[in-house]
Amino acid sequence: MKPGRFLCLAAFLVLLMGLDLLAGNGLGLADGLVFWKLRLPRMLTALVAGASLALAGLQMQAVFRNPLADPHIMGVSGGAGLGAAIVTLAIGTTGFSGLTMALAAFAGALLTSALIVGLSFRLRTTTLLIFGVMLGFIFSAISSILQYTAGEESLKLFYSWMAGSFSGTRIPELLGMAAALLAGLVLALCNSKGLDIILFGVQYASFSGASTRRIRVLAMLSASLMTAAVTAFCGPVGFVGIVAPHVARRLLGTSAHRPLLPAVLATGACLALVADILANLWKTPLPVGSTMALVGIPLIVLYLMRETVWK
Amino acid sequence: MEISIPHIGYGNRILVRDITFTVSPGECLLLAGPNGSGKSTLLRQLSEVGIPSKTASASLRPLPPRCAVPSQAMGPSLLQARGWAWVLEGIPTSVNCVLIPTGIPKIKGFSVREFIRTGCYRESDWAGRLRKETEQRLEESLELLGMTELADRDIATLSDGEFQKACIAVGLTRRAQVLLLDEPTAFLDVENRLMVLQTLREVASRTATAVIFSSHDLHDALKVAHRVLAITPDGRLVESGEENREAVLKEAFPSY
Repeated sequence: MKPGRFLCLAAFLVLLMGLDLLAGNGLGLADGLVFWKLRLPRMLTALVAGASLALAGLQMQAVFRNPLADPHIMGVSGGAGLGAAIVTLAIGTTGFSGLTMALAAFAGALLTSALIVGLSFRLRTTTLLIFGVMLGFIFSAISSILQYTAGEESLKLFYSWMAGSFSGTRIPELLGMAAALLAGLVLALCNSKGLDIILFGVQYASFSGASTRRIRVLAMLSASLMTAAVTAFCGPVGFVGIVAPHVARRLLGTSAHRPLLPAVLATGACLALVADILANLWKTPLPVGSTMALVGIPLIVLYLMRETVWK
Repeated sequence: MEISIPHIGYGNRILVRDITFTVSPGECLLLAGPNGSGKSTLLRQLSEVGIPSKTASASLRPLPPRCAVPSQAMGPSLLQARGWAWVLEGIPTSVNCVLIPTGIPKIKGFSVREFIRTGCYRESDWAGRLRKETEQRLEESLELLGMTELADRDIATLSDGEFQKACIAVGLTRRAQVLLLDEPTAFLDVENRLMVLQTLREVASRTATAVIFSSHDLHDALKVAHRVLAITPDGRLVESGEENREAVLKEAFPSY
């Protein structure tokens, strides 16, 4: 554990929060309405969403003992996407608001998580990981079929959600995400020693007296809750969950979960803020899902190269 | 301690029958047998159910498939591994057995001290903190094993032999009365193999812990083992005295 580095991370986070408030098209900070109604909620959404997805990724990497596990890979985001697609594309937009779509996405993510938790009692972790990836592909395929047959108006609404954005979140939605983050964090804290021991293998954890089933259920519950809330309101945003835990481990020089939790939250928030700043530097804001991929993918490639080539 | 278990196996497959042997505090026992003979299964069974005291009627009975597990058979007495359906009945006391399985990964980002604390899952509070007395036992274990200077080193940087010693420290910190080790010398070179085996013998004699370890390195293992438990190809467990260790090994490995 390196406290100095954590302080640097915290300072960097504060700097990014300031920069994110400045980033945006047209009106400056001098306009109070823009600040209170647009920039501040957007910055807070990025902060909460990044922290939530990073924490979800950390727990999934521990229980699946796989450095590439995250809610996106495990099909949870795909489940949310399918939920949103069914409401907007199959049923149609008539009478449906953005909130209904968000609720459908939330339900889709939770149902997928429940399926994965249920199967985790029967399948080995590697098989479960493959199952999650396949599930994501199936959801994506169904969404594509629905898009093919949907009307123009429905498609527009669906695409704008799929692209991912931290803008336009209202205070109740932000509070909902923050509540999910708080609940997920409490679960992760209570489960931190379980997450530590499961890294050394399910067999070793069992012999040490840990209930591996309880550890998995708590971790998945925490991860699903946070992912479902974030995906529902911000759309599917990938890569934070994979990248942030690795960056945090490297920065702090520890894999023990309890000291790692605050660093993972801060790293996830930093990544989301960087993606949001990049998205809002242009005249027309870019989709956050794309800028996150541009930030996240080089970091993942760098990690994989370090692990496989340079060692 | 006299240990008596009718048989062990998976589902309907019985690997070893009529298991009866004795083990004393401070004794170092080698568990030998061909691949797949049931060494790991026996060690796992001993760790999961605990070794029953002599006064208890140590009967393990197989439950019919899909039979509900009686509520009194909760916790460690229930063999949770897939395919098992065995429940320990009516055992009033049991000895604290700690099993160190083979192939524990050296995860980067844990110091030796953190690794030992993590292994003490039952002995720690919800936040993973050990009680003062357990923390003191951790330091004593490190000192006994000559690892005090390595305590803050990342386990990923330890040699395989040093890591095995850290695993033994987990058992000592957990106050094992019987320390069970599944192939602790697997994948080790000669130097590290001898160092680990010598450590086991010292731990047994200095802490009055009974040590039972399985190994395929019979020649080296015999240098430290007081006695031998051998599983024969026809599924019997043969126990040696101090004098006839090699003769018993011959029963397990006819070409030995």
